[in-house]
Amino acid sequence: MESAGHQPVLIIVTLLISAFLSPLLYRWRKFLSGMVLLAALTGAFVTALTLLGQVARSGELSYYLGNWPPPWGIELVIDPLRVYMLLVVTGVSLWIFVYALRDLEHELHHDVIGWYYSLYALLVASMSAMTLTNDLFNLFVLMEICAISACAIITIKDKRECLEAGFKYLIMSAMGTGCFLLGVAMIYMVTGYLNFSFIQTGLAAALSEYPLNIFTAAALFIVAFGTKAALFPLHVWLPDAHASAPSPSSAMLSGLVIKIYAFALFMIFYRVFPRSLLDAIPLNEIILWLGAMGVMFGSIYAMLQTDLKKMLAYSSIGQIAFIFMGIGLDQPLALTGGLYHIMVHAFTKSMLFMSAGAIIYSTGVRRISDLAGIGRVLPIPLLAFTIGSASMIGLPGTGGLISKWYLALGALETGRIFFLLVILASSLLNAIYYMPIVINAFMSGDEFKEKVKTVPPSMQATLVVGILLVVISGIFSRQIIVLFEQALTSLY
Amino acid sequence: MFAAAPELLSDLSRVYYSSLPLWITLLPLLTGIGLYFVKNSAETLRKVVSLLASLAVLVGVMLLLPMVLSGTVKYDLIDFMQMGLFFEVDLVGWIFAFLIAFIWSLATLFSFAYMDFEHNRRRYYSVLIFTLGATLGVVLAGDFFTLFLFFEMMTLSSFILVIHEQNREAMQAGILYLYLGIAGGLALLFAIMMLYSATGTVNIVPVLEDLGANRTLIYIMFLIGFGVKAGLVPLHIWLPQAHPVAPSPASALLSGIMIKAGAYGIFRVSLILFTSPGEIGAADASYLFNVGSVLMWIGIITMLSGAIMALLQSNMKRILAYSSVSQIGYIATGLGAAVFMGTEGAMGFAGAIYHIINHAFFKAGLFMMVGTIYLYTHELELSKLGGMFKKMPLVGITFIIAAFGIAGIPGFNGYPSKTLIHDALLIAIKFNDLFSIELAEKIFTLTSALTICYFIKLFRGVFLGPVPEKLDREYKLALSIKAVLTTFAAIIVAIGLFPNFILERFLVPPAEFLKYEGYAMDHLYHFNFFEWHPVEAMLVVIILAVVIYLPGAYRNWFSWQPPPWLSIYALLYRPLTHRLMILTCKAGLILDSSVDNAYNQSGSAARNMCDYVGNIDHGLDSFYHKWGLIGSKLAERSRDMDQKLDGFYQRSGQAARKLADKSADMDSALDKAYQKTGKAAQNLAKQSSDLDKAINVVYDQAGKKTRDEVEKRLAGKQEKHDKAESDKWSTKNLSFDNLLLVLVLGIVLFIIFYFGRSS
Repeated sequence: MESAGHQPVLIIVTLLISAFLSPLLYRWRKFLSGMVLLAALTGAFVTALTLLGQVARSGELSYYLGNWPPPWGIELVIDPLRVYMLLVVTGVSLWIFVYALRDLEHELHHDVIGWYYSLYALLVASMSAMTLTNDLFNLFVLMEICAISACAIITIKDKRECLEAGFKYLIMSAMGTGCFLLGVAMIYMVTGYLNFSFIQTGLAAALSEYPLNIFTAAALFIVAFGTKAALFPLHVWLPDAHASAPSPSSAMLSGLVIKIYAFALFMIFYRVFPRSLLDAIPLNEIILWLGAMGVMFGSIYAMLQTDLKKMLAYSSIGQIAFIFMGIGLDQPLALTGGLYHIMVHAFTKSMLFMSAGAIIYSTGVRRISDLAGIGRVLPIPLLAFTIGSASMIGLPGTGGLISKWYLALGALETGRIFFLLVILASSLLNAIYYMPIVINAFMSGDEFKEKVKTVPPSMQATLVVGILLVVISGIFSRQIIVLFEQALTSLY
Repeated sequence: MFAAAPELLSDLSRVYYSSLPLWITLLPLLTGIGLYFVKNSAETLRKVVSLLASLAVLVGVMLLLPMVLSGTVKYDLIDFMQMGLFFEVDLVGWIFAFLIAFIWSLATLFSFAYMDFEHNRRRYYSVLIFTLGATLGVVLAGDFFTLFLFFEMMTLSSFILVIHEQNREAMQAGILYLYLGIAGGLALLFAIMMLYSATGTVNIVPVLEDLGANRTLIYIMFLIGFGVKAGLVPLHIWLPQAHPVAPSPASALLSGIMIKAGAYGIFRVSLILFTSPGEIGAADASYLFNVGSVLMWIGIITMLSGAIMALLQSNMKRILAYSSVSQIGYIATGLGAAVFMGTEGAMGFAGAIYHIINHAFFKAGLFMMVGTIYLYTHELELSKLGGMFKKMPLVGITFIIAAFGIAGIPGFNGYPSKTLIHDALLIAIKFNDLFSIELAEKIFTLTSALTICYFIKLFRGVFLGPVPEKLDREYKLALSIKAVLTTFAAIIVAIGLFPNFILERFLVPPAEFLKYEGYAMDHLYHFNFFEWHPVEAMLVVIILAVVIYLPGAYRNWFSWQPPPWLSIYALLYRPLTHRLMILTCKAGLILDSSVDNAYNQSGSAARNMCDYVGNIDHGLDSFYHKWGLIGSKLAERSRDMDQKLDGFYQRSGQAARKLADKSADMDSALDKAYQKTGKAAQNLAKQSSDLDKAINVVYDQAGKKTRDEVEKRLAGKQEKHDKAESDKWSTKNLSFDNLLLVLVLGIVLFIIFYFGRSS
């Protein structure tokens, strides 16, 4: 394995430094503070792109933190899947931040915006590091940073429901990380390693000797990441947290934060657990059934909502379950679908939350039934909402179809037609709750009644970018799918 | 995956690679989008651009003709949407493409006069041209994935045409159309995925042998997917609602063209996909016989029920919509006969495709004629119309011609196709002497008679009788309308007089291509439509029609309104959706109330626990207190002892006494501290128990509120309660959530250990 340059750690360090700088700068020059973070995020994204180039040239790379080789030091690994995830994280957070620059002025007290920038940078830094790290304990530390900053960007909006939701999220995710730490301890007990690759070889040998420890650790991991990623029925914290947060936070949380844990679970399953463990006990099967239930119940719950953002939050539960179904089916095509859905849903749900944010920004309306005729007043946000809905349903021309297509093919490949039916039924359910909003917004005979403030151009521009991203991910998916195919064949 | 051309094609005909099909579909799609950005006031520009776009498409389709006559045209866009876009045009596909492009041009021209009185013209023209591209894409597609893409696009864009009026009726019909369309699209996607996983390809090539055990499921899913769009009974319910509410040119396209996209799909699936590449084995032959019979019977039921329903309507456009359902039944019957006859299926195939062509012309024409009446009178009800023949003679004459066409009068275009389908049934009887096919043939004749009846009813209602006073004025038809209606009438007569032209040029070659042979094929080569035998069959139909119509009209049978419970909607769909809705709501309610109860119980459990902890605290407190007392007593005693000791060892004991004093001080200080902490703990316990009580009350209330709300929604009462909602306590009981987490952990552990034990 070749050693990479310093780019991987540079991404994280730059973001951490800007996390410390922005609140300070904010006291001095408000505008500059935002620009510094914007530059840091852009830098992170560009660096991630150069990493992609490196990986394409020379395959898997690794970076030893402080030049301590594993198993003693922390290792960062740069392989195609991780770089893909890193690109999604940095790219989407950059995109959301452009939107946040204007939206935050409206949603937050101006004193705390500097702190918000700081938390945002911490969140992105921890997520970027989580994609790259090859060390379980390091993963735990990053999960804690991520959880705390995620809580803080909810509670920063000084409202009762935000505080409640944030508190609940904090407790639940603390329980989750607790489970994770316990699991890590058990793994460490039997193998003596914390590095993914070393554990994998160690576990294969230890499986026959200490099955109980390893089984318990596996169960703890499932519950830990299930809680963090809102896998049904551990999703209880999500709707309040995602719905009450400021819109950029909602977009971040629903678009990226829950997915990073799904990705971490994927890494644990295929990079930490040896194949013999997955074959011995039905870990994937558990994930699959929980995912299938999540897909159905997330949609059913979403149908019952009257609040726009709450509906979107419940819809996230259904959509994250698609990713878990990809892991659950344990099959290259389904995994392709699941991993692709990480990106598609990051684009789509972030865009939906941002367009909901734009609606709230300009009209203050949150109730679904009050949206009649709003499409004629706010064409771009509602167009974004329409495209997002189409992607959620999985209509052709949007990314949603591609991921569902591969998931369904995976389900068929394993001969489980039932899960194909689940996927299609949830598409229909999605249509049932997304379509009326769109139809009502554009086609309703009533005129929109509320007072309307114009949406700032930067927010409109981010929505347009979102529309393009969703459509492009639906049309030009071949390169990424080929990348997945190459990366995933090494797992089997 | 698309690189390998099926061998079947390569040895029979040439393959041309041309990007023309792509441009034919892309041009209207892009123009449609562009038209949306033309200013509202630029009316002429909009009309000219839309007409030019549809004419350009027509020219493009005509350019394909020389190629498709000697082979197929292919174009592959592999990088698009991962599965790639793949176009392949053969002669049958070309026929559809030509029909679409030609009738679309006429409808666009007709829209000029018609839409001048409508609102929202910018959206209308934009969507109209966009839908043209999507519909063309369906028939030019070379694989099912591409077909599916355009099919969905067509559903969504035609939805906007349906709800153009945006009144309540149109919205209802449109939403029904959309939901059924999306459900059908998903069924289609399901079938395509099953196909892909079974054969590894989505190309439209014969694959029956590779389909394996799931082939029936695949066929049913395809049939549902395409059947919704085609309007096969019982999937037709959207059609009589959606077609009448759309603007007339759009109705003409919906009824004349877009339902044919469904028929096209059924044709591709039944006659190409479900054919084995080699020789058809005996097992496959009997399987195909069953499939074909089912399709034929669906067609027969569709044609009969559509005709009966059409006869009972009193709204002009509704009669025509039901008539479309009935005519799709003819097409399905022909296709079904072609499937179950195997290599002898030439007659059914030719009849079905021929009827698709003819139906496109007369139904689109009829909708535009009726649309013309509506345009000038704003009436759709038969009872409020009459005597229009005198007022608009041109419309009357063209209407008679089109009605003769649909009724199958010799010399008009419906006659040859109905004759072919009828002959297909006769040949089927000849080869398989089954009662069911004979019955089907009888129903066919009956339906043809009913068709004549409802057209007599429609014609009498609109064109004959006295003119209502309100409508008694001079009407001046626009030139474009005159031109369009005359074109339709001329084509109907032309096809009717020279039926062999289309048959020999366009239907026999693909029939040869599909490897039809035997008696039916020989018959088809030199089919004489004006022999006594087919004309005789037609005369029987006409006599039967008279026998039905005269007493029916006399006794007012045709104004009978079927009770609402008899409709397919009331019998099948409403109970189904109703049950489903109730089930979902019940499930949600039960889940919610059980979660609620769990909150309540876990809340009260938590309160009890707090009380208990408080009691323990009390106990501890009093224990501290007692201990403190004992300590102080002990200290006193030790002091006494000290004094005594002092008495004994006065001199040497002074230092010791000081020490003892100090220790006593310390002890009492400790004692106080104990007391204080005891009290503080007690307070804390009390406070936490109070807090918990308060939280509990709130939980109870929140639980009640959610339950109330669900009940309210069940009862259909949606009241505005914005304020209440924003004040609602949204934190769910954390102890419950964590309990849930532990529960899940337990279950997961159990499963893992259960399975881990055995391995």
